[in-house]
Amino acid sequence: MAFVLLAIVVAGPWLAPYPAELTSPQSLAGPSAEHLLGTDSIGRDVLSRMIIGGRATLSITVIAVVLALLIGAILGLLAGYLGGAVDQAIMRVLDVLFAFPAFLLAVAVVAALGPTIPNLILTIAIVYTPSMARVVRGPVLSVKRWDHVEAARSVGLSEFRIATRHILPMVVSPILVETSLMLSRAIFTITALSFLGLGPPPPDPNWGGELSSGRQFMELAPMNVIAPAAAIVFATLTFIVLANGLRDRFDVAGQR
Amino acid sequence: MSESTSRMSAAAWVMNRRSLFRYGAAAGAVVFGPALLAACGTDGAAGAESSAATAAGTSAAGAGDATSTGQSQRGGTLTIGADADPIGLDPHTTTAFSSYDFIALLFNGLLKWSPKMEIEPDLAASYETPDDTTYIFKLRDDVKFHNGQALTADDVKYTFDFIFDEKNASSHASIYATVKKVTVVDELTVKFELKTPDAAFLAYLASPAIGSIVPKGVAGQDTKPVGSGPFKFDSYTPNQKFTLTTFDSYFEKDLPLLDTVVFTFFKDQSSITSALRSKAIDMTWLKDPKVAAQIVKSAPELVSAPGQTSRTFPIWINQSKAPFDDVQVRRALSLATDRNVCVQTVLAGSGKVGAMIPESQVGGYDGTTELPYYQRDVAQAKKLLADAGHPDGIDLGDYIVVAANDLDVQCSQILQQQWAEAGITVALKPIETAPLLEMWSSGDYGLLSVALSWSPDPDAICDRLRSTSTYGKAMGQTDTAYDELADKARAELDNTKRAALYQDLQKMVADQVYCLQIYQYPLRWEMWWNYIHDYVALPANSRTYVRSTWRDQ
Repeated sequence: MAFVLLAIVVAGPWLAPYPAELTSPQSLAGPSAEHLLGTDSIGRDVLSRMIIGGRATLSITVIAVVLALLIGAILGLLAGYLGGAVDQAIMRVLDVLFAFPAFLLAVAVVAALGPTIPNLILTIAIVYTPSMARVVRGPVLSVKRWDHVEAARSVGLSEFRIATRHILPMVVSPILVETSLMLSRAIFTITALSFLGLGPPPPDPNWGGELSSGRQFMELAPMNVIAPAAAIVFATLTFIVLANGLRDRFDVAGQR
Repeated sequence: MSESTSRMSAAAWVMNRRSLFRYGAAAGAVVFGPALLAACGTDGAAGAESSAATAAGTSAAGAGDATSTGQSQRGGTLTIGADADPIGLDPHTTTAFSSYDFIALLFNGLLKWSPKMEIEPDLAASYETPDDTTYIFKLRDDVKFHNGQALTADDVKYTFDFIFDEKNASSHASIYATVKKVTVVDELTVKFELKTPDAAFLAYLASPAIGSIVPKGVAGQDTKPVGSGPFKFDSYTPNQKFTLTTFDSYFEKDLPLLDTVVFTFFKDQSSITSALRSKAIDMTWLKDPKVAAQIVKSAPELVSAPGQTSRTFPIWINQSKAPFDDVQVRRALSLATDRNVCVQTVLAGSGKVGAMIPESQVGGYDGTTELPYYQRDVAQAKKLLADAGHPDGIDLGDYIVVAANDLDVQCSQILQQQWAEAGITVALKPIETAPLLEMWSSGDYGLLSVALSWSPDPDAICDRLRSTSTYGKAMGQTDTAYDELADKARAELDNTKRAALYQDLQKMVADQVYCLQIYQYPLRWEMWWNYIHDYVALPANSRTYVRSTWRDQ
């Protein structure tokens, strides 16, 4: 499943049978040999828009989550390892962000910044940073009291080296699991934002936007809704399965 | 999960209200209808019964009154699927287009539109024009308002005093700017004196809301409207439904035929169409001609009235901002546009190439005559751009469209591609309606699209480009030749001459590209099931012929 998503992101424009913006007077047509999933309201190929839209949606998701991962991991490591006032300061700020429901926060941030792709990435990163920081901080708190850390410290290694070489590797597995879960949630947030018209501006396709415009013609051309909806489900499912697989493999449930 | 439960409880709540309403209506028939009780004693009860039945979504119909004129049948409920809530019901203070549909059934004007969009008397029994600036109306003597008050010339005078009173901030004051004086001649005669001849005056008087006569001294019209219309206000629950009941003392003989008219509100087109298919609603209008055409094709029992083209899709160009101050750039934009492709793709052919005035108006554009810079010519567009100092193409910044209007968003995407072929790039920016209207009236835009809906008179459309109007000022209009021509056309009382003037005006707009008109199409495509009879769709934004509508029982 992940390979299909990867293929869409890497080779989307070559896989799609038509350019995403190519219009034709044949609007709202049903599936045919020419257009496998039919056409949308201004005669664009639904399959092509699904593939190219997936590329946009998935790359925004991945970039945003990687960003959240970096910031979140650094903050979590700092808070957990240094403790004390630094921990308090970081975690209280993150708590404030955490207090808002993720989606509400996302809508507020996008509405304030304006719906462009960089802003969307930033928004998702902001929204998901606190949970990543928390996931990292927890294990760090326990790992830092382990013997090998004490040993490293007694040998006289620098704090930075201890944190990155002796603590971070110990918490990689929860980070991986959290990242992949976060991907599934982030893709949901992004498609929901686009559905509400806060996504990347037209004419560039994306799953949420396709779903929203297809909804108007649900009765006449159901493929307009089914295709992007199925794509969203497929992608979300892929990330959840991935997370479960990673969790089984690393058995992080016990550590958390 | 929580959403579905809340929807369930909302439905249960509606059912409660509905059964309450049924008792209310039956009680109302007993209390208010003693005069009718003898004639149609069972009618009130049967009507209420059938209203509950149809509203609940079943196809059971109540037993109606058989003693009706001709073959038409009296009684029953008409359920209309509506796409927008009214915003205020006072005809002279509301600015919302969506309110007109309701006001048209609650109020009357001195004049009204016929099915052929000709002006005919309504509250006026007759009128005469002794000279070009004087109009004398004789009122009917049998008109009553919903509160029992009889119509007199004082009410007409009161209505216009209300409009011109600055503290009411009526948007209609500027529409009637040519009116000098309204005088009561006798109890049933009223005289209007105008400052200058005004060809638009009668059209405004005939239009819903703008021409509505309100009873003297009745306050609170905004929420509890009292008019003289065929139906009176019953109840309104925002986002859910709006109920009107028949007005027994309505002046037109034997009208209205229905007992109740219920407007049910829907958020989007797909829920309206599925409600229509399941017959939860009897009648609706759709904005998207593509969808309408397909729905009609799939259900032969639907009567459909596509209507005359009365709406246009323009792109307003702000000439006070560079590079739009350069007419070459504007002409290049026009030349880069393939209007026919837009008609075919966005409207699926249910429309025509547009100019400033739609075909249904005096002097309206027929969609085929060639206007300057209308034939697509990408090479010429590029040449004009190069001459204007942009040999490598030009970036025109944001193109703002109404996010809520799907057709607009669709068309803007096609235009973006067409322009790109001529080296013109724009960034699409679909935004909410309210801030967009604010930008339009303040001039805070470069390119912006707001579809122009039906207007009672072409002057209202041309006014958008007058250098003296709010919108004209905002877009940096300075062309006084345009103003003069528009004024001349408004003052021309001969329709043939007036049409010729408007043709010239449209050539001027196309030549100078003050505004880029793409296509014209029906305001809305009305459709109803074939058990609904004698309804006539108007290109105006009202359903005044609901008053003569009846349904098979």
